Amino acid sequence: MRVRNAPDQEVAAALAAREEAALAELYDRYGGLAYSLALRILGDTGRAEDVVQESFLKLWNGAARFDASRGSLRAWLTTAVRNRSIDLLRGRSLHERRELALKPEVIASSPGPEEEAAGSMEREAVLAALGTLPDEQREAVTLAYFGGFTQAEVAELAGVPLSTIKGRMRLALEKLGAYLRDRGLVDV
Amino acid sequence: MSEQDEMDDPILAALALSVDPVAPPPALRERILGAAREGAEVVPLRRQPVRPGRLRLPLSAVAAIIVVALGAGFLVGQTIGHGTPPASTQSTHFSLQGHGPLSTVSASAVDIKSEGVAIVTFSGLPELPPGKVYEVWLITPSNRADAAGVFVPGAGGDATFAVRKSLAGYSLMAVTIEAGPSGVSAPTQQPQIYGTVT
Repeated sequence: MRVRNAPDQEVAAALAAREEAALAELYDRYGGLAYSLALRILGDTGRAEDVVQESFLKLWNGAARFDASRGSLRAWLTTAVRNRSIDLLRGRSLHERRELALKPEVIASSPGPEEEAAGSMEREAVLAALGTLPDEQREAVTLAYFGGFTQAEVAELAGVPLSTIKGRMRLALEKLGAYLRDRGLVDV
Repeated sequence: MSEQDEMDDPILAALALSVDPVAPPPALRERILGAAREGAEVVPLRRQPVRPGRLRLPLSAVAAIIVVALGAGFLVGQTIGHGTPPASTQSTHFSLQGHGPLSTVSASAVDIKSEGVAIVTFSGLPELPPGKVYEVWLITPSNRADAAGVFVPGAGGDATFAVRKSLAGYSLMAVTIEAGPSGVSAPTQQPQIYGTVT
């Protein structure tokens, strides 16, 4: 089966048939994203490599059960990478997890020209969507996604009631959703 | 598949696309394909996280282990004449990674706590523009950046740098490109090389 540029369902079928070319194709499409995500969450290149390897092999071994109607291969992969990375983070202190999740806004908030040029259109859209959020909402969703913090933990870190964090999260997701849906970017 | 059941909120999951793109090591692709070829079902991680509290022993057993360990430590200390703690408590290791245009950069650091010195070994550093230096910063949890010195890499993009101060109280080590020869007192750009101090 030819898998180069094939849709997800065909790549998944080739994976289920144990075609190594399908795994190679999947890696070429999403290996960089998977590694970048794991590294963003963990801040450690060795662990990031391990997480990416484990996630690709989970997909390799579970491809027969892939259902394209429930999400893309990319979404499945990033979810696997994110969840495994968060598992590993849980061995670290809350302080370190917070620092990793929010790193490293030490000086400026706007990306440099090289970064803007290097980013994909999707990435720019998500960054732009995040940029529309007030700081406290952006921090809440960043801690939840990249730090794996529960809403109760985010509330504790921010020193505000849980109901406040629930409100911030809801508003943030509504705004992000509206922005991304307008650009056809809901399913990662 | 079960993993699809675990998918995050699709809006929240879109944040995955916001990450700074970093190229994985070229060897990772072959490593994954090789593991698939060999029929690996579960890939053991090379480095397992420390999970406090996973080992659950009765208090009496813990007490016995402590007594035996202290006794053994005392005897060893008496025998070899050292009262220093184990090496693992004297030094820690962490890594730094480049991002964006500096994604080729990686570094490993050894914090020798007993000496108040950290040695950082960089590789893949791009050549600097004329008059510029790499400047190392130590960043506190409140985002204060303290200068830790400057360096210029060798022709191959490698450098070894000694941070001659304790890393206690710092959460990040970062590097920026600044004006030489002595650097600046506060970073003038967003760091694109950084790592968590452990």
